[in-house]
Amino acid sequence: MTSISIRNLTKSFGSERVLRGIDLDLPEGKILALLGPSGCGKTTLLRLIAGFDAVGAGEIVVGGRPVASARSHVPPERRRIGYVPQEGALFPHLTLAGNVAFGLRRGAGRVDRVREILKLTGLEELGQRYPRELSGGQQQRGALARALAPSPEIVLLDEPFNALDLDLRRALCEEVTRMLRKSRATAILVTHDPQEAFVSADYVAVMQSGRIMQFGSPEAVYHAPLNADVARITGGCVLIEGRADGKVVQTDLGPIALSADLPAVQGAVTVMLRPEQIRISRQETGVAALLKAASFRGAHTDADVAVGDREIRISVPGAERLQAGATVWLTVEGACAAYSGEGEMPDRRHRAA
Amino acid sequence: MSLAAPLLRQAQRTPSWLLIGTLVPSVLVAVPLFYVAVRSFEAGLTGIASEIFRERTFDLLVNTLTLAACVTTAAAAIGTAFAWCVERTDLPMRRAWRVLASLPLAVPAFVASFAWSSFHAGFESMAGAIFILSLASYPLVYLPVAAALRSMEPAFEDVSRSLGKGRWETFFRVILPQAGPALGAGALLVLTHMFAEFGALSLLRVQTFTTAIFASYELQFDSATAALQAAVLVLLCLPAAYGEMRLRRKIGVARVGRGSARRMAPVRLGRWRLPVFLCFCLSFALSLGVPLLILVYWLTVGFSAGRGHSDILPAIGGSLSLAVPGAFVVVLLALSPVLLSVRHEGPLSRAADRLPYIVHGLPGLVVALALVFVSIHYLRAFYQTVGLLMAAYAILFLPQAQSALRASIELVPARLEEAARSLGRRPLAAFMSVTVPNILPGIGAALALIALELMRELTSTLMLAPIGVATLATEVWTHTNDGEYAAAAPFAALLVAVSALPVYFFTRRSIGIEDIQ
Amino acid sequence: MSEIVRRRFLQGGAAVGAAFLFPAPFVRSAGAEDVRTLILYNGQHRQTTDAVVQAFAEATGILIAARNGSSAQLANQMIEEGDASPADVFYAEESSPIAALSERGLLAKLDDGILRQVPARYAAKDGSWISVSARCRVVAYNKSMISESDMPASVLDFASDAWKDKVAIVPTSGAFQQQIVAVEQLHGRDKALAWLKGLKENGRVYNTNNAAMQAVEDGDIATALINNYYWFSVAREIGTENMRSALHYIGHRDAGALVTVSAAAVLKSGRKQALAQQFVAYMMSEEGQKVIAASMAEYPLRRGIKSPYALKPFEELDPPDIAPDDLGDGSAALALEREAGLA
Repeated sequence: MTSISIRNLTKSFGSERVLRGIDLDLPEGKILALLGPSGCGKTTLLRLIAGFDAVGAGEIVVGGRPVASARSHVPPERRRIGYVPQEGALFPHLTLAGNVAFGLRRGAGRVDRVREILKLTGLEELGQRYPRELSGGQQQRGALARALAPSPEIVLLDEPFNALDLDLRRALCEEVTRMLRKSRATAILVTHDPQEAFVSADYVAVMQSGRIMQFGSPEAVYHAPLNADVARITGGCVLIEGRADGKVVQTDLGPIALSADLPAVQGAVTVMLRPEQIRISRQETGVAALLKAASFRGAHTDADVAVGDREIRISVPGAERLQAGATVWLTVEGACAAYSGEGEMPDRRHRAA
Repeated sequence: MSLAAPLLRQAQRTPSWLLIGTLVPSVLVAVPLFYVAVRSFEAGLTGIASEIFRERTFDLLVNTLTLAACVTTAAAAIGTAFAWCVERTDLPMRRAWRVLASLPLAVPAFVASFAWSSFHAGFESMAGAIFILSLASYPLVYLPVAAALRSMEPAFEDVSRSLGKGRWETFFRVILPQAGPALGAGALLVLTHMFAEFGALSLLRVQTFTTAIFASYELQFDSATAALQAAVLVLLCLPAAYGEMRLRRKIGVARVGRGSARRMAPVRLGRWRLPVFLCFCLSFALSLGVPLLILVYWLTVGFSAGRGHSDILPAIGGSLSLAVPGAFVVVLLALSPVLLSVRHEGPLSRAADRLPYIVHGLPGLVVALALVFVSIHYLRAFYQTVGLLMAAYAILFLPQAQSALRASIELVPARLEEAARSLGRRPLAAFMSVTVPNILPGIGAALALIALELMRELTSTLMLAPIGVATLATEVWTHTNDGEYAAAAPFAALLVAVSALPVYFFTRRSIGIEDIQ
Repeated sequence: MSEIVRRRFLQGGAAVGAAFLFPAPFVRSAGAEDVRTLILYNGQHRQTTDAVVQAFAEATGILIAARNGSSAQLANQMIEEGDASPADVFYAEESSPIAALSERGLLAKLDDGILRQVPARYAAKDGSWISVSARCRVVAYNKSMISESDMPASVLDFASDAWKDKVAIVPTSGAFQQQIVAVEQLHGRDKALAWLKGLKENGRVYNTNNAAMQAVEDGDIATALINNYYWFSVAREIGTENMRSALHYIGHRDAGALVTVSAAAVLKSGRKQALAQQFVAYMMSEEGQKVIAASMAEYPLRRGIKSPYALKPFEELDPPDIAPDDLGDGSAALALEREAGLA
């Protein structure tokens, strides 16, 4: 069953068009990541779904019930949509348990539900603490617990890990995903970090300039981005020129198969490879290249190599020591994405399979 | 980190200048307490018992509590509602209302009471007093609550709405509790003001402990009764000050003045827009228009009009020459306790911070007599100097200065000073060069508020000001005392006009008026 | 205004304030140290004091600096000040605050020449103070609410149920207190207490005499027990022909016709005894008494001086035979008021 469905949604603030026609369907129990650079409209989309702002045009349907259109606006308190804002925003005047109980009706089940949710989020010992007595990660989990407590139709998370340091952020992201799955919640997570999106989500919607540029599984979005912008938003990428002939592209790195997820192309194209797809070796297989510089990154090494007069940055796994000035050989693994000209259009409908 | 911070802060050594700076106002405030205690015990234990258990004491208690509770509640309700409408709705002329709503502060309660009671005798009653004083004192709640609302994290409201709470419930369960410290501080000021109010009540025929204290001093000499009544007032202030302190501690620092990244879209009042607007107009007309109209009326009908016009300039000069330096003294003395309680939290610093609030309920007459007593007995050289009057001003108005300063001091992190220390500044120098420039807006607001209060102060000015110095307030008192209402009118009007300036400045400082959409 | 400009403004303000502040603690009352300036603690209505002070300065070149306040508050202040009081002369609206100072031995004896200016009953028996002007206790009534023929024969009658909510009293006023003392002296303590209890039951309490007078004039209440001059100050403000109230003089030696006085004294602790005596002498001189009589509707007490106001002739007042000094400092009245629940 579809949990949320959005049709041709637009929104402007003054003369600035923030959303330019969003279409989106998300099945129940799935997690969607809205991925995009700041200012792309992802937070605005979230706020429209939550009901904090009124839509310009279009329609939002949640659980089969229309909640927003140009003519009607269900206020946020009647949408049954959980919301986790940036930095959590736990009510400072209530204990953690008080925060979690906030959205629950008075009654017999209330205390049990609070206990259950605190257990789910691993906070059962901290119920009587005030927010200022909790660490950043605990506050964030508390905010999620509060949002989950009333069993909402959907949970919206607005860059919830932004304020945390990197390690905590990664760990918490996985943890939160686990909690969301355990509670079988449908969720939309706004983020600008592709790793966060891939780790947590069933689907990723890549947004730019008020539009959804691509919608799909994390793998599809990563390996078969529909255009160069999506490729850049979803991770590091190597762009080189090539000539396409149906399902194969001829490049300076040799012939590369075109991804099966993408339509066939002909003629001059831009080829997109992920840095880790290009393998480096001292054996003379593949294309010869000059190693210009290498910077050791721990688990991998970033290497700048020149192929002919083209310089590209690739990612080399493992502990292999690379010497600048050496000649190396490059081979390409897997399929590539290729775009002809600049005319790639975003697909109009984004529906999960 | 949040847990560790206060512990770390406590471990830090408190600079000695801060301790001394806190000791001075604490000692000052202890003077009237000492005086009240000494004079009370002159009555002897049986005297105390027979005074406390009189029927009249009970009557006064009922009256005092009724008045204080009703005015505080009404002022809190009006102030909070106004703050919410101005800060959060599409009320027409929001920007203008932001200042206009605080302007009734410029009308001294005794001027408003005089106006209303001469308009209709029905206002000379408990109900009338509650009506007039609520209108006169709601800005003391409106200003801090508006400032708190402005800087409150909007995400709280979003979350509450998403958890199924409507606007009303969100207001009462999320917004109001967080505006709690601001609301509590404002309400405490109103409450203690009501305990100490005399001028207005004497016109409105309401008997409270303070009017009884004045009466005692009118009727008898070296009065133990008055001291006992003052002691009761102090006892009444205690639970209020304690409750406010608890509220502040429980909720923690209100995030005042930080400003949120995202401005909230104003709530649409819809069909309520016009009625709410009319409510604002009505309150403005009642609290400002009526008193001013009555003053004009007297000016046109009274035969004493024009009498004493040559006193106007000296009176303005007298008002300013006392109020301006007085404001500086009071604000200077208020700085240390606030700093100490914010930076070096602990039971002692909290007590030093709250002590002035306990004495705030005492009328100026008791404070002035206490200072006469103490200076005559122990500091004779100090008697009848401006310094003694300044001390009285400090005792009377420290809490207001503290409230005005607190918000801006809370915003300046101790880290800034630590950075200055690491760059080689000594503690006081670090404070002067880093903290002071950053709290100047708060200091400005406090100066304006205290100057405003000092300009209308009457009793201790009469008793302690240098001989021959008249102020606008003392001129109003003199002329109304002689029944010369028309002669009093220009002084009263000037008092309102001169007061409007600090009110405007204070409003700007505390909630800002420029950056509204 | 930009932040920088604002900061500058504040810093400038701070500098100005500091400049104001710096000399402040060292400033003593203007001219108080000047040997030629007398310090007057003034509880009398200021128009009167201003007039006589100015006339005195013109006549003698001696300047007077006045601290204004209510007589009782000033007396309380002088009691706290004790022998450190800067005051040279005290001019009180009523006699009881000045009697309180006299009881505590704070007053110097006035020169006999001064005391002789008034009939003996208007000077303190010990010569420590002198009555300056007199006024009469009266009943102010609103002409449209009650007619003068309905007025009772005695002030004691106002305590009866017939006068419920028709009589205004000001228990905190010194003159009312003196009236209580008069009732006690004329009728005994029990009757005085019963009278006060009746007034508490039936009368309406006002906090100031002006308010009570104004209430009668405005028709809020039918009558008020006050001093005669309060009516005249309203009359002067709005015009005698516009007055809706009038005065009833009870007369025939009733406590309701009590004559009370304003009074002056020289402080024992004052360092300018001769000048102080000179000023009080001037107040009682023909010239001084004329100035005082012109400034307010009271009876000048020096023989041969007439008030320019249309007062009922002093000889017709027919007051009870109680001299101001007999009224004391009012502490007896306070005990009664407390017992009756009025204080």
